[in-house]
Amino acid sequence: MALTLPAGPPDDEAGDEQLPCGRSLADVWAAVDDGPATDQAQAAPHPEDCPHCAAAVESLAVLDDVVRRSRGAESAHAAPDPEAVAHRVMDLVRLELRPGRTLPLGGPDEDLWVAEAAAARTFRAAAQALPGVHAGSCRITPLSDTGSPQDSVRVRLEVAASWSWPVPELAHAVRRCVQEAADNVVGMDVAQVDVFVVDILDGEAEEGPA
Amino acid sequence: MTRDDATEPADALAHAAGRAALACDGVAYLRPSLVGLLRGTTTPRTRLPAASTPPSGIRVRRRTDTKDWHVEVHLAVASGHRALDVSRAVSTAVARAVREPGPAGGERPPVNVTVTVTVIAIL
Repeated sequence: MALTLPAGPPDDEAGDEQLPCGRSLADVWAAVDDGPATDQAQAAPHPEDCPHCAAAVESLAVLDDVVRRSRGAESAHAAPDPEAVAHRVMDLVRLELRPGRTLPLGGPDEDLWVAEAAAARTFRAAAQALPGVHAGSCRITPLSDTGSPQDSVRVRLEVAASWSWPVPELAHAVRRCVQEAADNVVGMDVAQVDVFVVDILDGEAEEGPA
Repeated sequence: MTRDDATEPADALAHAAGRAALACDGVAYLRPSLVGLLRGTTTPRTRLPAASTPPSGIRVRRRTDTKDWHVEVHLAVASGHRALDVSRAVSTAVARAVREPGPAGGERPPVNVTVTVTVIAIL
C-alpha cells in the first residue's frame, strides 16, 4: 500500500468533525444557530437537501432536546442551577469539537497518536498510587517544536503530598511511577519528568512513604 | 466527481475500518461523538437509515492533492492493554481491511491510516 505519512500530528481540524459532504460539523451547527455565512455560501454553494447536513442538523436537534429535557427535569426539582447544567453541556461540546493536543506513539514510520488528556490521566493515576500523594495538573509536551513522530516528550506533573515524604524521595518515586506507566500502559517515550511539589498535605488521614 | 461517487466509497471504507478496529484485542470502543452518546438515550424526531450513518470514531477523507483516501480511527483502549500495542494492531487490521475488494469487486484505492488513542481505561 502506498503510504504518505503526514508530517505532524493530526491537524487541529481533526477535532472539527468533517461530514462526508465536505462541510464541517461546526459550520453546519453554526449555520443553524446564526444562519448561513454569506461569504461561505457564495464560495461553496451546497445542496439544500444534502443528507449529511440534514443528519447533522437532526443531531443538533437531539442535543437540544436533551438539554431542554435536562433543564426541565432539574427545574422540576427546583434545585440545581440551570446555568451550571449549560456549562457542563458546553464543556462536553468543546471537548468534542476540540479534543486537545495529540502526541506521537511508536516510531517515526508509524502514524499512531495518543491524546494528551488520555496520557496525562494515566500519569496522574500512576502518581496517585503512591501513599499520601495527590496529583494535579499534568502537561505533556514534545521535547522539540517540530511535532514529528520521532520526538520524545517531557512530562510536567504537579503533586501535593503528605508532610512525611522527603521531597527528593517523593520526586524520585513519582518519576519512577510515571516512567513505568509510560512504558507499560501507554508505550510512550518519555525523556524527562519534571515534578513540582505544590502543596504539603497535613491531614491526619494522609499516609506517607512506607 | 459527484457527491455520490465520493460518499459511497467513503461509507464503505468507514464501515470496513470500524469492523476491523472493533475486532482488535484491547479496543474498548471507538470514540463515540457527543451526539452518538446522546442518540443511544433519546428518540430523535426523525431517523435516517442506519446504513447512511458512519461508524463512531471513524473519519474518512480524500486528500485533494494526491486523491489518496485517509482513514482516521479514534479509539479507547481497554484496561490491561498497552495503548501502543493496541493502536499498532488496529492500524494493521484497518489497513488490511480497507484494501480488500468491495462488494462490487475491484481493488480499493491507496488508503493511509491514522490511529489516535483518546482514552486509556485505568483499572
